[in-house]
Amino acid sequence: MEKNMTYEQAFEELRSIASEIEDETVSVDVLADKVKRASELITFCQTKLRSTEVEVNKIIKQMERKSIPE
Amino acid sequence: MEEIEFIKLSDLSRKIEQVFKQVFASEFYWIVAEVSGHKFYPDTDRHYFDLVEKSANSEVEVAKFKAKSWSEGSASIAEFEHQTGQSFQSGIQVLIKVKVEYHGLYGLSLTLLEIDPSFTLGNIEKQRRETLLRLVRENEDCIFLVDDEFITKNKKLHLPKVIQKIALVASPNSEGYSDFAHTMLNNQHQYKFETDNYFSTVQGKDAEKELINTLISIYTSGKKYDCVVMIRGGGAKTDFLVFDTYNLSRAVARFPIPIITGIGHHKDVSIVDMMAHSPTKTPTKCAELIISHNRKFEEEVLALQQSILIKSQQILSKSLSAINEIKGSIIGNVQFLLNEQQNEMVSMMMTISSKPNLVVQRKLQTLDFIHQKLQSQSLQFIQKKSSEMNHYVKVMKLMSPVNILKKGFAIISMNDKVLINTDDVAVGSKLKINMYQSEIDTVVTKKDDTDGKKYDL
Repeated sequence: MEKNMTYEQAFEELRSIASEIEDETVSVDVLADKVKRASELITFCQTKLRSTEVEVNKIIKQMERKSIPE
Repeated sequence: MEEIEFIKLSDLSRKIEQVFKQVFASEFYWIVAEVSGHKFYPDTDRHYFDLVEKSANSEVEVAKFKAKSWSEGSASIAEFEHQTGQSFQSGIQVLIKVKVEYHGLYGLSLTLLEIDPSFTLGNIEKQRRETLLRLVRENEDCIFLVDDEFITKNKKLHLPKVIQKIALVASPNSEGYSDFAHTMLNNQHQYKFETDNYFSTVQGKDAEKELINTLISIYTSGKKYDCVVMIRGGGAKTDFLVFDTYNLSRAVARFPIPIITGIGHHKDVSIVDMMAHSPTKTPTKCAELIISHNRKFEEEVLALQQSILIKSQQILSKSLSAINEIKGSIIGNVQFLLNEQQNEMVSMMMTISSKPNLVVQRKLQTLDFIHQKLQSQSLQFIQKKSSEMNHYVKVMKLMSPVNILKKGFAIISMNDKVLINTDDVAVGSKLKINMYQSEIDTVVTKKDDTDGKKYDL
């Protein structure tokens, strides 16, 4: 997750994923990736709403560490 | 030297008191004046002040009286403050009912009996209208009146989807501040906020200037606030007039960060409310607005999540059913093909198993036929041959030497050899002549050649 992402950016991306899926312009091959990204964005928004900036940065760092492939 | 008659000062004052009593005791007057040098003593519930009249176009005082109010007048003042939202203080124009009094020690003064709120309200309203007109007139670039509504630069600002960084303008330790802070902290969604407090006086004669300076320091802090919250609430229901002042209203209208107000105004709206991005009625409502603003965002996110979930499940099940359909049609087709092949095989098997019999039967029939034909034809042949034989027998019989002999022919032989020509026959040769049922031996006496034509048929 990008560190300086704003709610607006996250929401825009989320909305575009939703409309791609709604319009069925997403192939089944990338559907899982899109849904995963959407879930990340939602988690980001919900976490950010309930944390201070410092906490958010900590959480994002943790998410980044987790997503680095071993 | 003639002795001058004099009286004591107290005698004079008593005299004057008498005159005043005669003239003014039962009289009272409604007057319009400006309050100045106001002091209030809450313990005794007394107001002391001056009443001044200034010339119409200058600030020159043309009349001035000492004035005071006892409990009756003070009660009227309290009611006035409640109704107008204007505290009784220096600088305001009032319509009051007064009694003229003279006291030997304290001199001439007016006693306030009643104060008319509607006059001040009218004045305030007039002032408000003038301020509003001036705001529109002098700020054409950022304040517009559209269909009875004021559109300002601040109102046109985009309020971020989520409000989290807040510059809070409030007076410290005020009820309004704690209402706001409490509501924000204990919101049911556990949203976090980062609030920087910018404390400022929000009432009194310095409030306008202080509030403007506070806004300036918010701006110059360089921090990216999502919004400015300006609250004032609780406490006495007076002295909101700072929120109707021209300079503060103008600053709010022009401010580059969205301003949300929660001014517990006793009236519907202040001018600052009209200029601000989002006005609310109280500090608590202001906090609730921010929380529900954030909640609205979260709900939008959750709605997207819901629709993504539902739709992607639909897409998956659609693809699955498409695959199943293909699978079904493959199975169906394969089964059909297999059936067809099987049927063909069965029919071929039938053909294979039945055909040889048929062929054999047919061949047998043919054989039978041939057999019969052979039988019948050989019989016929034999019959035919035998009839032919019979014919030949007949012919043979006809041709047999006996029969020929019977017809008168003779067989001539010489030296036991049958003669077929007469080359070796000479006169004197002994010949044997065989005829039917007789044999003659003879000797040749004569031999002549003939042309043979005599017996040529």
